[in-house]
Amino acid sequence: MYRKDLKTHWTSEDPSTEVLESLHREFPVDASIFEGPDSRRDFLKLMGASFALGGMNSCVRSPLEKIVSSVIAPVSVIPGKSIFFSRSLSQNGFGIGVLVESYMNRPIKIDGHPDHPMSLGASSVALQADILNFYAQDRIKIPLRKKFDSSWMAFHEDWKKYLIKNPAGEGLWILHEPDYSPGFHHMRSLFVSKFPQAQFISYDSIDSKRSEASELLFGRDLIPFFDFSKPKVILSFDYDFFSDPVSGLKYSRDFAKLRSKNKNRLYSVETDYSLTGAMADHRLARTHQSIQFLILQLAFELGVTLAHAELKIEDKEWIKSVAREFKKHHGEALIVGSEFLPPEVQALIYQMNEKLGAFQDSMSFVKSHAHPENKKKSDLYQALKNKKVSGLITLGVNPIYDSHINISKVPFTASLQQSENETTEQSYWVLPESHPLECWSDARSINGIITINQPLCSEMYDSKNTLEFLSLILDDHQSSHDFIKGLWGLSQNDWEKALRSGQLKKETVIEHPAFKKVKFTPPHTINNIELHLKADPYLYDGKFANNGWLQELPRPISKTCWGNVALLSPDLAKEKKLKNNDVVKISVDEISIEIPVWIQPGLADSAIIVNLGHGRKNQGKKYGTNAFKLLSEKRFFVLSADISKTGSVKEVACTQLHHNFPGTEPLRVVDLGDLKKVKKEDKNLPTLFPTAPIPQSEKYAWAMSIDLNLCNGCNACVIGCQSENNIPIVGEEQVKVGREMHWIRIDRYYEGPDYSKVHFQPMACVHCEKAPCEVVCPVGATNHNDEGLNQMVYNRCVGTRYCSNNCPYKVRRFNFLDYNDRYSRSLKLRSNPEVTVRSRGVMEKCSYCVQRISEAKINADLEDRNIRDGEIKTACQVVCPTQAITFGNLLDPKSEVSHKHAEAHSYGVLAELGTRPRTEYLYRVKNPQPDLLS
Amino acid sequence: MPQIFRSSSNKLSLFSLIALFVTLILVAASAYGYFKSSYHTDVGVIREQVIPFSHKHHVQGLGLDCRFCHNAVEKSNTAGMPSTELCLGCHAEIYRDSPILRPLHESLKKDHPLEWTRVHNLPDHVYFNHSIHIKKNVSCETCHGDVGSMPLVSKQRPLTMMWCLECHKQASETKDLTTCTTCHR
Amino acid sequence: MSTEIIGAKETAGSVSDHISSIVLKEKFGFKWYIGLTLGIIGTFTLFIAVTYLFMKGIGIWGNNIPVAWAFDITNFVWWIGIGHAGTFISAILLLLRQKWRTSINRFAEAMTLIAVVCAGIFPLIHLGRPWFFFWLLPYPNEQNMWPQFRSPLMWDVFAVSTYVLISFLFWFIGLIPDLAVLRDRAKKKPVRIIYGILAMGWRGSATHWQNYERTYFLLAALAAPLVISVHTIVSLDFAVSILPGWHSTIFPPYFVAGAIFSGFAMVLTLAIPLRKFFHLESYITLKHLENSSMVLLAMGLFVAYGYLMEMMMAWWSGDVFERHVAMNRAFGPYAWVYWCLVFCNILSPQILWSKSIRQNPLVLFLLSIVINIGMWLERFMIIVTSLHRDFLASSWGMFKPTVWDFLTLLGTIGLFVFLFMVFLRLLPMIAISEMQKLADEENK
Repeated sequence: MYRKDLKTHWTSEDPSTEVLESLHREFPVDASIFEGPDSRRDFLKLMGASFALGGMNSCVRSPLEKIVSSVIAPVSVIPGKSIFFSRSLSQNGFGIGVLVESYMNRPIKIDGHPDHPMSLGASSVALQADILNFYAQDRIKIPLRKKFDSSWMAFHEDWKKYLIKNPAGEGLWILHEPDYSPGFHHMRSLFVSKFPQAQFISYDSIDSKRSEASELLFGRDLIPFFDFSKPKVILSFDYDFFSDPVSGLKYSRDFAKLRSKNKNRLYSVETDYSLTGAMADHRLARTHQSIQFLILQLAFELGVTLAHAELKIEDKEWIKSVAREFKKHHGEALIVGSEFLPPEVQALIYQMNEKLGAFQDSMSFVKSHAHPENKKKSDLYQALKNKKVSGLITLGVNPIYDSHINISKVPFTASLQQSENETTEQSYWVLPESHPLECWSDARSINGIITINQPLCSEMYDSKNTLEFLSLILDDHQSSHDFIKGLWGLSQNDWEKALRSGQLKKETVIEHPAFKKVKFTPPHTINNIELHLKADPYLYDGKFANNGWLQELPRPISKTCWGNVALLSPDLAKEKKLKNNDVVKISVDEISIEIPVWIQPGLADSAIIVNLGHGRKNQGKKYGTNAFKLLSEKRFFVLSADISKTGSVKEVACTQLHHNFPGTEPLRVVDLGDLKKVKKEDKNLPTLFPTAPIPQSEKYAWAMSIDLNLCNGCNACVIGCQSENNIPIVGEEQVKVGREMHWIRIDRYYEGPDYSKVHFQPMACVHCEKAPCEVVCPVGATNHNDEGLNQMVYNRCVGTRYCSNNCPYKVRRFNFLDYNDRYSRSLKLRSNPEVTVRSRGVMEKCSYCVQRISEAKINADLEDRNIRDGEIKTACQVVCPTQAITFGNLLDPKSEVSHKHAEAHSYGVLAELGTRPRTEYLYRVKNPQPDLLS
Repeated sequence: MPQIFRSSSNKLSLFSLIALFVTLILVAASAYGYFKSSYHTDVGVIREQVIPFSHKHHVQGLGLDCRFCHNAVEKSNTAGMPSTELCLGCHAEIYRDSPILRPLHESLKKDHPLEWTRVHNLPDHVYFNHSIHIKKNVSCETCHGDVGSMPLVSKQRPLTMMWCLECHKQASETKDLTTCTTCHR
Repeated sequence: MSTEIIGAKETAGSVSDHISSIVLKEKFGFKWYIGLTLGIIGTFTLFIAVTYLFMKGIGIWGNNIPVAWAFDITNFVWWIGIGHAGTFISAILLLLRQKWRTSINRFAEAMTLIAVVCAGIFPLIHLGRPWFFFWLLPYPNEQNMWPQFRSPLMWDVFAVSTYVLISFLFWFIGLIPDLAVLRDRAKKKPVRIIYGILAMGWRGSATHWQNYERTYFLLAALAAPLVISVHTIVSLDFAVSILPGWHSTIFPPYFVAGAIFSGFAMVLTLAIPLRKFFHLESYITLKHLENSSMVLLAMGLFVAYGYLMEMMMAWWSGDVFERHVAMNRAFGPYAWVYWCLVFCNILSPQILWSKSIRQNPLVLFLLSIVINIGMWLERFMIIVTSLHRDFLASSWGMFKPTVWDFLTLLGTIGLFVFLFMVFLRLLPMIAISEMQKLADEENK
């Protein structure tokens, strides 16, 4: 299968050391990323590096280079060939299977594992971008005591001293990221057995009301787990299941199964504009509390409750017809709701599902594996108030930033972190944490698959992971490898098998529990403006604020990046006389933040959405505002707020403004009923552009097909492309002047009189057969190859930018400045060796991942065969959770892409210009309910 | 008023005109010469190596195959360099005390790789793949010359784009090997 | 008075006395020094701007995607346009036997050369990697690569370089007899030698004059078509592309007219101060000003027709993109540019219908400035407003110039002033020999 031939998966236990040491030598000791006078330069350090002579012409004599041979050739590493590690990465404590590419023992790319049910080869933005955290410049390199260099030894001494006072760990609190892996569970019990008084908190800064709801219903903590491949009708109450950090990939794939056949219908009632809302066939934008009334009303219509709500007449009608349809589809209907709804409301939704017979297949529950003796945050706050905390150890979590506690009075504080943050600033001991890719661990996926995670290389710095750290302070100094191996005690054979497949075993965690009825209490009312604080789709709770890819990735609907904004609806903006970029003061009793406004059509009126995770102190400090400030200790994420204009203005970095261009239809939408009526377009319109001067191959003609009906705008392809093709980030200022470098962008189009409907269109170079860019290049740096690729030759480009002017799709990207960081050599190690890193003054664009085509071609030639259909997958195609992207050979009539191009509703954007694009799109198909159309 | 120019200056001006053209031609010619010469192409230039390794001795003398040391050549884009371990496979015994081989033993002791100086160095924007050339029956000699008869290796071919194209233009069964993406990505 | 093209009292002697004395006299007016200083400051600005550009890259300008060309190409086209009047006056008017060209052709040609030099800077520095500019020239190389001859930018390279060469030769040949005059009149030996070398042994013999006349007319015949060709090619940079607002068949004539329009404006901008400062009223008479302003008026109307046709074609094509660009120009975010240039290039020249204004140096001077600005705005409009909103609304953008954009523009103006001042100091700004002939003919 595509370059991920399982034979090549790494199985040896400790990656060969000498290559690693040469790698150690390569690492500079340098400053953190966002610090320094010239911030542009500095955060370019976030990624990218250039070969010394990248883009130089051959008239320059290259300097002498060294060849470094290895001392002892590592087993199963063929120099110049990548190997792939099957492992998993943790998302909110649950593992997701990934395949990590390692080139000469350098991890360079993370993709989903094709065999792991929670990813099925796809991967989310967060998973993709984790590779950048591995190489982050500001990782803590050695233990620090009071900010001064120290050692683990010294820390251990201190720890022993601490234990003399508190032998049983009295008043010791350990805050750790949610981690449901067997390894951590075991380590925790070892720890508690030795220090019975120690308290653990599984610290999630954005704690939903899910567990409370589950307690209410089942008396224990269960997590709802859905199967979207079954239900024909789905209704989501403010729950964006596409972007669920744990199960989003699976949900997207499942949903796509029926959506690709137009066999399901999605309703969405939400406050914010989410991916789910954009995909929905019918969408209502309502505030948090009116959503609860709608739920109550639906429950009444479905005969779950007797109480019913007072609603506007159109809402009543809406619910009525929805209820009618759901009754019709008994057994194949599903209602999902936000985890931030009040517990009783969530309970009500579960009851409706039971009534609709969703419990048989499309809805089930899994164990949360949260440790029953875990304390709550509130307990910690209490203990701090009563000075009952003798020691506070924070493992990878950042409470000082996201909950305003004061630990200055705590006698012993230690913080194990990958990079400096607000908590390390106040901790006495700051300890370097290993990146998951450099140490052993195990993981449990939400559906119960156990994975044993092996490192891709030994630690780059003097760091430890959670297991090693706890083992250290338990005083039995086990390496994570010995601990995990000891824990599972497998035979060498099984052990290697587990490592190779990335799946040790599958526990059964699915349950269909019975639950007790709960009575619904009407929601507490907010009669003011409703403020929604949400986890940032990419930075989450600020964990990834230091990741340049994620900072620069446009938020799916608003297309803003580098900092957060206050999203509000046009009506509210009009009422408050606000326009984009106006800075407003949002205040929740006494506390207030200042933040620029961004007007977002399709939001619920009288609601403001603000993303959390921005305004970090030492990482990405210039970017955005810390909205955690507004949270009280109760940590309720929907608040009643006041908003007032400050008069000042801050320009927001945004990659796509909202323009109206009537008469053009780059993105085509059709109702399911009219799909049959769509006429096939003539693909060979007359054109004035000359044919490619070279003879076309009889074997291959590469082409792409993108199904707009499946694209949910999740942006995974953008990051997938960025990491595959060494695309630099450019920073806030450059984005503001319109110089972002993403080769593939997700165009967002609004539909309807109030622009309340959103559609997405991934747009990269469409590889025109008659490309306007080619004829105008004075040096022939962009031209056509015999397989229909519109190829861009960086080392020939002189940078007249004429090609971009003449490109109707404006998909060409220009290195206006030296965006690629040549200087921080650690980042060189990340970049993909198969792709030239572009110097300044050079045009670049989507190449259909030509490096993968070449590789496949060579492999095919070595085996004397043709390239098989599906053998080449472009980076964007691999990551896509809904498999909206197809790539292949048009000259092979049986290939998937040929079939898709043959569809009547397959069209080329701007084909009327005679460009003959090789990338074609399938219509976005809406499946509206007839009653609701009127 | 006296004449400031003698009549001979007419000839001078004529001469200077001719001289101008001649110099232009000379400059062009010498530039062309330079880029063809080994000053620019490094053809025949022998590089200082950490160990003065003789291919002649190992290949002609002992009859080793290229692939014995460059063992990735058929599988990968790079031919691969022998590890210290591999060299020591023989040299743990043979010539073990020869001062020439000291760096080799050092390398193992210090666990520090040997650093050879590149002789054939393509620009970084050129993606050359050894395995496919071998597969297509392009012998090592075609690009590297008869290394087997060299006591000390030196580049034998200019390895300029023009030079590569000479073969790529007439690559037999496929015409497509001159498109840019064959070598540049 | 207004009908004569040379002062009544002027004779062959007085002409050469007056004009050569300007060059040969020891001291030069402080006004000239002011001009020179301004020129030098400007030139340094240019130097700094370009140095920083080469250090950092195009990013120091406001250019972006979609607006990948902005000030750089605008300035290029503007300067090239200005560089048209000279050759037009000397070559075409010569062939048309227009006597009144005589007194203005010399400095007009100098202006042309200098303007083309300023223009020539931009195609070079607007490259992302200017150090590879030579890849645009066909020469044998190791990569076995040739330029891509289908690209209008390639045609530019040839068109402009040819134009520079011919205009220079034309200008220099014309200078030879005057250089001889300076050689003979100069007092100091080194000065005489320098002018002597440049005069290449001109003795003014009958054969000399015969060869001279033949060559001069030959070159005129060669240069005349170039006046048309260069800006036609430049216009093709745009007309060849697919971009609505660029892709238009009217561009070649429309650009040439625009070029001569701006060229003559610049001639007036220079001529009027010159005749004042150096008391050349009897050489550059009101008749000259009047004729030039008539050319201005004619070309102005031509340009106006061009604007009209663009709008008309946009509407007539029925193409949604063409129409959008037209509307966007007139009412979009850059509407002010459009209406400014309508005022500068269409409305303001209409005052030239009145004879009294055509003979009023001050008004003409101001008008010429206005037109120069207008023509710059026209190029800005064509380039930027077409680019910033094209086919896909998703990738629409705006262009905001940076300080470096302006410094580069001012810099080239400075360079222009500097070189022109040097020309005034070292070479006769009016063709002595031709004026002598004229004097003989006119004032018998």
